[in-house]
Amino acid sequence: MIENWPILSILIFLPIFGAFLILLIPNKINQEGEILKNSINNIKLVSLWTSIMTFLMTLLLSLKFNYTEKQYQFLEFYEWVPSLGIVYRVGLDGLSLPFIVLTAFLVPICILCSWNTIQHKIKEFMISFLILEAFIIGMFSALDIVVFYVFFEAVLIPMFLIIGIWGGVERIYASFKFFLYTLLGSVLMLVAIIYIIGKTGTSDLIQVLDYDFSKTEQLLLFLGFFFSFAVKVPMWPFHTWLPDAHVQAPTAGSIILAGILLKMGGYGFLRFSLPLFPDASLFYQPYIFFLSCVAIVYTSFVAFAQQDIKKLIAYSSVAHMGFVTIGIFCLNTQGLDGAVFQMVSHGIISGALFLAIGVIYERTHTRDINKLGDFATTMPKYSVFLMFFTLGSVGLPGTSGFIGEVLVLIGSWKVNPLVAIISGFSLILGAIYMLRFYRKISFGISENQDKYEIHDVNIREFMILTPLVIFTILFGIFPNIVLNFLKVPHFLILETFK
Amino acid sequence: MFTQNIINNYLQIPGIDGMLLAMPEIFIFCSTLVLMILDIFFFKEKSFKNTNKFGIFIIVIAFFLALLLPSTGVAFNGLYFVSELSTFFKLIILFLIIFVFLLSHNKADFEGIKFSEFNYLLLLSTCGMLILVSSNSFLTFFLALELQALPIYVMCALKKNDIKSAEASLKYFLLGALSSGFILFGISLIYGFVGSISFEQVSNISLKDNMGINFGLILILAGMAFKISSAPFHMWAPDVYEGTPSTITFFIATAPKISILGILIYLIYRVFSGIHGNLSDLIIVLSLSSMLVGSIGAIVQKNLKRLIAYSSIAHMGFILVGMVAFSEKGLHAIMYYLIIYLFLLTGVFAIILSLQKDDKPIELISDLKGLYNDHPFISICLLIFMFSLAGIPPLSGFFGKWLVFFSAIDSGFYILAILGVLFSVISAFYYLKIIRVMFFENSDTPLILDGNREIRFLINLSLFVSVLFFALFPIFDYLILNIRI
Repeated sequence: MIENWPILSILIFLPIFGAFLILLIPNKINQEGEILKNSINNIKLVSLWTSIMTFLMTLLLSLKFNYTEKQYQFLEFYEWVPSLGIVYRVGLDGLSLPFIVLTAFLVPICILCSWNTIQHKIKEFMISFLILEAFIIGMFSALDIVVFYVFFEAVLIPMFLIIGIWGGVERIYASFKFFLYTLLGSVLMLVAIIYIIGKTGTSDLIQVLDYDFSKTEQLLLFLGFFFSFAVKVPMWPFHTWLPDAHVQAPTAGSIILAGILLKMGGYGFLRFSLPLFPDASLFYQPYIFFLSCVAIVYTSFVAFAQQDIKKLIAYSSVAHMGFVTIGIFCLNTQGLDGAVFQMVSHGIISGALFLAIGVIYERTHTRDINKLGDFATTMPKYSVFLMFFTLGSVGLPGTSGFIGEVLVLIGSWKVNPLVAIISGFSLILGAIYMLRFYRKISFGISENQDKYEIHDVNIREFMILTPLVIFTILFGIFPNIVLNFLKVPHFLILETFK
Repeated sequence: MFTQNIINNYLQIPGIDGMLLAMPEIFIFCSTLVLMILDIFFFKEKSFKNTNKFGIFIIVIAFFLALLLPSTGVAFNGLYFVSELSTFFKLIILFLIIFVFLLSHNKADFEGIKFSEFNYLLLLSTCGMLILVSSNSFLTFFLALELQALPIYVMCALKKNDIKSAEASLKYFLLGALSSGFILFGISLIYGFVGSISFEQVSNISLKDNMGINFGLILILAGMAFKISSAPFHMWAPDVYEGTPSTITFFIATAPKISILGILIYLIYRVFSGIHGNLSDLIIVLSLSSMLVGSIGAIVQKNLKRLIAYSSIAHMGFILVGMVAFSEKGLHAIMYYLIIYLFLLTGVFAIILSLQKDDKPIELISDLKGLYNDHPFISICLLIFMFSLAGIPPLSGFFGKWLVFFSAIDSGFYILAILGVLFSVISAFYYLKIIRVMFFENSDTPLILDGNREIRFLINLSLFVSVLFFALFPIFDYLILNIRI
């Protein structure tokens, strides 16, 4: 019976349903004008359980998923606007499923980590977050270009509000920059999408994939898609919105931004740019390699110079995403596998690092690397957690960061050894700034240490940090958990290049 | 179909067919006259409220007349023409006038325009608009244009003691009269070269390389660009919007523009179909300059209604993008855009009208400070309208923008489309600015929400349409697709 259910649509709309339920919870106010604790608790619990349900559903999906099937699975198809050839088509393949599971995994963590940190407008925060989750899952499962675009841009609305309302001091500037930068990138994709629909007469991805665009068309259309994905990834020199957004966003916002929103760009490249425009991808390959190498080396140096630890991690994200774009445009199996694996592992590790920063920020209210230190004695458990994530970010063998980087290096060596040498060299740079970060935080001596009342991680933080550590190591030892999903879709992508 | 049968079988009196085609207009006009007499003798104290209620009643009846009576035909010796397209525009306009009546119902007192004349003028202007969209000769066209415009000049000046209102009215009148002069001069040129003022005869004559006709057409286009406030003929809009009471601003910002767009579409799709090449360049210039002026001019605005004026200039630019290609897709895109934009503006103006600060209507953008803390629901509505105006999916504004650019790209206007979407990003900036003021900033003086039932209804309706437009899309798709030029 369950086979015929529109299980994917249920998954997309479940968080929206949860948000609707939260909307119905009344904000009861006591005599002092404060919202009653009871209703706040209800709001938090409903959002937590909705997100956990969503996560369980994605696990169910991945259990029922067939690795060897070449077609999209859990397909759903409804006519939407017949006269324009737009259909509501959603489905999953091995490429989108890992991202959906990652999203559904990170959202409960975000909700738990903002349990006490978000003090005002908690109802609106949870609603924005659940709607954000729904849009992201919709985007990863869309198989119609217009549906994809709708979800892709809709993500901006809740994210803008999350940064703008619950962000730091400079939140207005950061939210505007984030919104306008990404909007500017994606409107060009809109033009490209409209052109494709005009040419092929449909926006259904499965049919569009069969259409052969001429070389000139490919070169131009590729650029239209490229700008929007490059801003999202973000590639150098389109990355300047990222540090601002990260620094100003609340912890949960940073986690979702680094963990998932950056992956939308890489996913877009894999889902649209490569299969639709193979000639153009080959043509632009050297330029993208160049941009990615600059990104890796340059942002590593920039990260080394940061005083603000959140900014440091933000720049390291740009460097890690540089590996992803190199891997994608290697156009061979190792490169693609490495890129997707790097995205998944970066989603976990950078999310965890932002979470860890949030934990100290809650206690010390500073993110200045010089004012922090000696957490190895004051917060020993925390230091152990942080070590795992730091080493994962460095790419130590045995952590998930290693697998992705090595696969990308192998893939790029096959195409262009110089790129492999430069990016391999920069692994050392990554180790330098991350280990400096860890040394200062855990073992360094801070200027105003005694001012803070520091207690070690509490049970809630322990509960959300533990699964992140487990997955960091699990994926490092058994990478096939993720890689199994990717075999067929990557084979199909590479087939268009033959 | 049923009404058609009745008409064919029982009402075959010579001349009556023309009367039937023009029935909505005739009905509105006659009942306005009756209403005036009723008002003088019976309404006395409740003069405004009663005329307002009767006004709604009249418009609703006219709406059904326009909906049910035969929808195609030529009447009055070719002076008058009804097609599905003109019926569509009539229905939209009538719908809109109902909104204007509802908005003014309780707010007229607060805004200082509580004169029953407001209602008569509104009805007369509506009558002019309906005639305008179905005029089939330059004579009807010009007369209807003046019939719709003259009451509006008076309406702008209704708030007698307010100096800004007087300035706005005078400015609107002078520039409106100037543009009418342009149009009249253009018509006279065309009459001189064609020898007829009938649309049918003009469209039958080969117009290609005739300097006189081209020149006349440019003059007509310029005059109409004045009236739809398309740049570079937009100067009156910010001042007039700022000076007039909000109910009337809402009326000026929507109804006359829709009716003029309706006849403009008919003129350039049908009447001047021989010279599309030249026309297309002109419209591209109008459209690009409107987008430029609208999106850049709005950035520095501090007054809320001036900002809306600039934003409406930018939106007019987007609407004109749909017109450059002269394709059916473009026509449908414009229709969608008008419906979507109409609901958004209704929502925005309903919110502006319902808010007060220190017993005064809000004027500046900074008056919206802290709206979120005071009235969460209203501010979330305004947030959705702003995102929708900025064209962010999945809200309704995105679909309008998308369809318009679709029609342009479909006909090969790539550069125009790319520039258009870039301008739309610039214009997103000032919509975000309003959201910022509402959500991210706080203020000491609280905003007072004085929304009555009608206004709440309008806000909810607009919210419904703009959020759930993606679900209504197939329905609109079915309704609009059947309408051809």
